[in-house]
This record gives sequence, structure tokens and C-alpha cells, in this order.
Amino acid sequence: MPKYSTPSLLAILAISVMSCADKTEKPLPPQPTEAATQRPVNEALAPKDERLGVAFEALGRGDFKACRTQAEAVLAEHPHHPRAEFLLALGLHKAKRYAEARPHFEQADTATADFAGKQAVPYYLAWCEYWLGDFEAARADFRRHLAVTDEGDSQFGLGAIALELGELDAARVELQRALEIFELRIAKGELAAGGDVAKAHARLADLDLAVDDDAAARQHLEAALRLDPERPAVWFKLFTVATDAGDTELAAKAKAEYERRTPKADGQTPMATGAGQ
Amino acid sequence: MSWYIKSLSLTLLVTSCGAHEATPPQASAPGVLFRDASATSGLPRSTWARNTPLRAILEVKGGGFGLLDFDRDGLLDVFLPGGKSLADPSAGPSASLWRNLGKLRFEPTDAGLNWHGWAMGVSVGDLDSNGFDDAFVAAHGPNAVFFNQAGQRLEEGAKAAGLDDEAWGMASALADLDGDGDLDIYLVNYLQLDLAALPPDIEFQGERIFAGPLGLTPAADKLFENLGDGHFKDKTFRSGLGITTPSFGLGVLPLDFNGDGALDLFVGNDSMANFLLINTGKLRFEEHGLAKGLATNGDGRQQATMGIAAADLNQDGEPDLFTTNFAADTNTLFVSRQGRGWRDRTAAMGLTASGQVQVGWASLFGDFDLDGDDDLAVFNGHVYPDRIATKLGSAAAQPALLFEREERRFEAVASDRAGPWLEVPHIDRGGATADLDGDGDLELLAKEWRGPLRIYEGLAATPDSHWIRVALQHDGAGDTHGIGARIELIELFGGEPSEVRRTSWVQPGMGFQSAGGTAAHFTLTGGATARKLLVTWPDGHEQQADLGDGEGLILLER
Repeated sequence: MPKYSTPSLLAILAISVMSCADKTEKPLPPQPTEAATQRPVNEALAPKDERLGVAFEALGRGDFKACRTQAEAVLAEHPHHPRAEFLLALGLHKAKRYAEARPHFEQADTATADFAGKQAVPYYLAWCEYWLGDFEAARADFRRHLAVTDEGDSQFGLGAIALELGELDAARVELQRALEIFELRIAKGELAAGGDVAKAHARLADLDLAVDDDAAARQHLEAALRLDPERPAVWFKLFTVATDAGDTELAAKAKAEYERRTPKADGQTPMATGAGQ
Repeated sequence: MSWYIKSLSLTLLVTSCGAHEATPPQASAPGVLFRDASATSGLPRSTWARNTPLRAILEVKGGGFGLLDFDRDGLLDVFLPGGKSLADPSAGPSASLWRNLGKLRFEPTDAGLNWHGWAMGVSVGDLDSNGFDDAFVAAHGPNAVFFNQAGQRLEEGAKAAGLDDEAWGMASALADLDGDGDLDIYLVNYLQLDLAALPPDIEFQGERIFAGPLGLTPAADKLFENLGDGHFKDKTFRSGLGITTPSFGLGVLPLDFNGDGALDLFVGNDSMANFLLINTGKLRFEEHGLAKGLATNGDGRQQATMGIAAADLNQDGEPDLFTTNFAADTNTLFVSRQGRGWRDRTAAMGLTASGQVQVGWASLFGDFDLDGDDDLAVFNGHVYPDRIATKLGSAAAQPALLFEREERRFEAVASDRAGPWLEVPHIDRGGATADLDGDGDLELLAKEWRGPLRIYEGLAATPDSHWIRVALQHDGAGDTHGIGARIELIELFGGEPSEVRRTSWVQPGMGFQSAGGTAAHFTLTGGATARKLLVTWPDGHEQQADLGDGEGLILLER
């Protein structure tokens, strides 16, 4: 049974997963949790720089471009500065520019110096790899992260990968474990109720849908929506399940809720894609 | 390879699979599936206007071609339409026809072509019911129709036929949608783009790039009824299609999706919900995409939906669909559920990991390894230049993907199996498949954006291969090839199972913006004591043929 005593559980940013606009069934891009902020920093290899604090604050308020600008300025003076690499990578990652973020995470990952956030690097690197379709690399990095933390989202990542790879039995085990971690953290007051548990239920519903067990899927979908009704993908699946079951009333409600939450063309994203600005 | 002639209650002609001498075995490693035969094919190799700055979405979309038996010599020839660029609209190639000499060699032929439009998708069919295949070109600007004058000339006649619609056409389906025997036209339109007032560039991934499609105005699709006298009538409004949401249409595939005997339409829309247009008779349609699970991926997310391919992957007799999508997204596999619609089975069938960084276009199902089930080829290429494509984890030029079916899943094939060509990146668009050399395996064709048409020779066939290729023929009717027809092969066994049914369809529109072969392929896995075919034509006519133990190319006449 995992332990939950590490400081990595303390999210220091105000952003919550719930606030993310992307409510698809796929795992959401992770939020910076500042996993190892309290760890000692070797200042000879990773000199302190006020601009990195500014970068981190920019990240927290969603100004990813400012975050990148500050980090790049530090890197111009201190090439391969590990925390600057990390923050630059986060600034790209948050903008869904995963291919660009990945080498910076990798650079930070190979640093011998300790720095604030180092422990979380494999976690973010894994999500980059996930979004780039490199599932085996992502799996290895999630596991590496789980070897040093009890991060439920890495556990969830393993479940998501197994599901993507069609390893349904393994996916169920991983996702159920993630669900347990999330619920235990909530019970301990370390995690806000809602988003994380909802996304685990949503992915468990995917497992059931993959084997046409619509009744079980419906339970997970409804559980997810009770916790987080702002998930269009979950409403869509509930619409599908209700339609097939002949539950026209629920189907109509789910369809309306799905359509109400489906992003409309905004003229900003040129193609239908998970990648943004 | 055995072949035979048999006549029951129908005319069944069987020609030798070697009617046109197969290309000699290639110097490829044993087991390799394809070799790049482009260099010796004689097809044009030119690349044009690749390095001009891209000013509008129009410039990245075209790339179709068509295979048609121009002179009815039994060999599929190649029709290549033209294209343009905004930097130099006069510099693009004109339409051309390349005659198939056999052995995967082609030569230009003078078919009287003198068309310099901005071509997108090509469809092939006998629109004027004269027994010869015509070519319809969806274009930016007036669409074009090249009527085949008895294998002598291709004469453009869209205006006289009432088909010179000026909306930005992307693709079309030529199919007998009203069951009267001739070919009607569903025209897929994209968006409204005024070349004199291009929309301002937008920022994407931190770079300035041309706008669209989102943020621009979609152009509504159209439906034209073939009146049978050389003219077509716009029936968009009366068909019920007028109430569908105008969308950024990219492709269309006509098949009987609900098993009622009438051709329906799956329309792929870019960044908007796809349509499943169910044919309710008398050339009227109702849209059921969302309810049937084909409007979006399994997450309810609208995708780009470029290429469309269909095959009966779960052997339930219904078409399963594979669609290609933009980068940072997966391609999507929709699997049928025996009359209960379709579900996204992309992950369950092993197709998620690939395609995440590619921009997918032509997708093609076919039994490329001749093992009895359908494999999958996907041709890719970005719409954006390298400076943006790299930010999405790839490059403008991208290698193709090839998957072999292994049990319930697809497995990506590496170049040691597919052939070295698989590692060569291209900026592809159109694609099609057909057995061009008549040796029993399938060739792949891919059209590069502002570049040449490549041909990959299938190498899977050996003297020990056993296969049936079924081509339909209905002379005297416009729908000569039975576009959209359902062909079921029933193999009878002495033991258990007592019979195995496999279903295929006449779907030349599979791929993207291109017209491929019209024959249905079945690899024979052995052990059957007898075989028969059950064909459902688009007008509902059913036809059976007892094949005994026959193999090879079968021309099934109606």
C-alpha cells in the first residue's frame, strides 16, 4: 500500500485540474505540483535566479509565454540550468507543445544537480511522451516517478496507457489503484474531491465500454458526473449508453449537457487537434 | 492459379489472374510486402511550387487522382488532375492521363485534356451511361467532369451537365443513390474562401500561419440527381440535406450502413461532426451521425477526418470505418455493433499509439499480406511547414504507416517487413489501392502534395497464393461497377464451421480524394469445399454465383 507522507502531495499552485478547459476523456495535461520544492538545492550546479521565481509565478497564473521567456533568459546565461530547463519545459507543456517540451524535460531529468521540482520531472516527461504517442517511454517514466513518490496521477497514467494499448485487464488494475490513491488522499484532506476521482471513473467506464458492459460503464459515468459535471466526454458516453439502452429521457439530457459543453469553433485553433496555442 | 467459366442463372465470366502478365518477382527480401516501383513506372516525377510561401488553407488541400479503365482494355489507367499555388497560379500541371501498359508501366496519352483548374478530389464512374468511365473533379472554382468519349478522349463538360458548382469542392461520391441504375453525385464542399480577400493569418504554436478551417465559413454539400439524359439536377434541398449543418467537408464514402439495401453516405468533416446520411428512399436522407456513433470520436470530440476506409473487421457483415486525423490526435477506428451503431475501438484494436504526431490522409484497408484478413495503410504529411510541424513532434514530410492484422488487433509493421519505402517521409494526400498488375496482391498508390504519384508494388503473391477478385459489370447502366455494392463470399466446409462468410464492398472512394479499384478482394485460406458469392447491388438487386472451387479474377456480369 503506498504511503502518503511526501511533500510532493502539496500542490502549491492555485490552478486545479477542474479548471482546465480540456474535459475530454483522455488524461488532462498535468498541473505543476511542485513536487520537490522543499528539497535542498545544489546552488553551484543550479544557481538561484530571481527570474526563475518570476517564471514559476507566471506559470501559476497561466502566462506560459512569460514563463518561457524568463526561463530562456536564464538558460541564455546558464546553459542547461536544470530548473530553468524544467520551467521552460513546463511552459511549453502547459501550452500543449509537447514535442518542444520533451527535450527540456529530458535535459532537466539528466541533471546531476538537485533542484526544486526535480522529483516531478519524470512525471511531466511521461505525460509529454503520452501525448506524443510514445507509450512505452511514458510507462517507464511513470513507473520511475512512482518509485519515489505516491503520485496518484502517475498511477492513473499507467492505467491510461494500458487502456490505450488495449491491455484491458492491466488497465483495470492500474486505474482501480489510482482511484484508491485519489480517494485515500481525499479522505486525508490532501486532495480536493472531484476531478481526479472523476477522471478515474471516466477511464474505468472506457474499460467497460470496450467490452460492451454498458451497465457497468453507466455506473462509472454517473459517478464521474456527480463529482465533476463539466466533462463533455463523459456526458457524450452517457448519451451513447442511454441511447443504446433505449433510455430516451436520459439520452436527451446527456446529449444536451454534452452539446452545451462542447467547444464551439472559435477561429483560434486552425484544425481539430489536441494541440493549442 | 485455376480459373474457369461457369454459367448458371447469370452470366459469370472468369478471366485468368494472369490476363496481364504479372510483374516478375522483385529483388526484395523474402516476406517483404511492397517495393517502390515509382521510378520505373513512367508516371510523372515532377514536384512543383513546394517552396512557395503558403498564404491560404487552399494551398495545402489538393492531392487526388483517379484510376479508370479509359479504353476498356482491362487495365486501370491513371487520371491526374492539375493544381495551382497562389504564388504562381499558372505554374501548376494540367490534367493528364497515363495509360497502363501492363507490368506497372505507364505512358502519357493524349486524351484531349486541357484543363488547368485547381483540383481537389477525383471520383470515377460512368456518369453518362455510355459504358466508359468518366472522371469528376471537385475543385476550387468550377468543378469539372471529364466525359469519356469511347476511350478516345476525355471531354470536359461540367457546365452543360449542370455540375459546374463553384463552391470549394473537396471530394465527391458517384453512386446510385436513388436506385434507378445511374450514378448520382454527392458533392462534398469545404469552406468559403475569397482569394481576393484572404483571411488574416492566425497564431498557432507560437507561429503565424494561414487561417482555417475553424473561424471561416463552411460551404454546404450538394446532391445532384442524374436525370439520365446527360444532365444533373441539384436536389440538395429536396433531399433533406438542406437542413444539415454546413460543415468543412473533406470526404465521403457511399455504403449501405443500415443494411436496408439502399446506399447511405458517411461524410467526413474537418473539425466538425461527421455525417451519417441514411437513405430513406426517393433520394431523401436523414442525418444520424451522433446517434449512431460516427459523428465524433469516442470522447465526443470532433476530429479532422480526412481519409475514410471501410472493411468488415469484426466479420458481422457491416462496414467498420477508419478515419485519419490531424496531429496531436489519434486516427479513429469505428467498429460496428450489429445494427446498434458504431463505437470507437481505436485503442482496443491497437491503433492509438501510431498517428499521434502524423497528419493522416489516405487510409486504405486491404489484405496486403494475403493472409485472409484486412491490413491497413495510412499515408501522412503535414499541412504546415517544418517550423510548425516540428512543434507538434514531427515534420512536414512524414512516413506512411502500415499495419498488419494480428488476431483482434493491428500491429505496426516496420520497414524490414513493409519494405524500405516505409521509412521515406513524404507530404502525402491522396491514396488508393488496386491490383494493377493482376498478380493477386494489391498495389498502393500515394499522391504527394504538389508532387508525384508514387506506386508501391505488392509482393505478397506467390504461385501458392489463392485468391478471388470480384469485379462487377452491368453494361447498359450507368452504375457499371456497382459502386457501393455489397459482396459476400460464402465458403462451405465439410466440418465445423460449416460455412464462413466474409463481406467486402465496391468502394473506389476509399482513401482520400482519389478513386481506386472497384474489385473486391478475398484471400482464400484453404479447406473450403465450395464457394459462392452473394452480391447486393446498390439498387437492391441481389445476385448469387456458385464458384465451386474457382479462383482468380471473376467478372460478375449482371
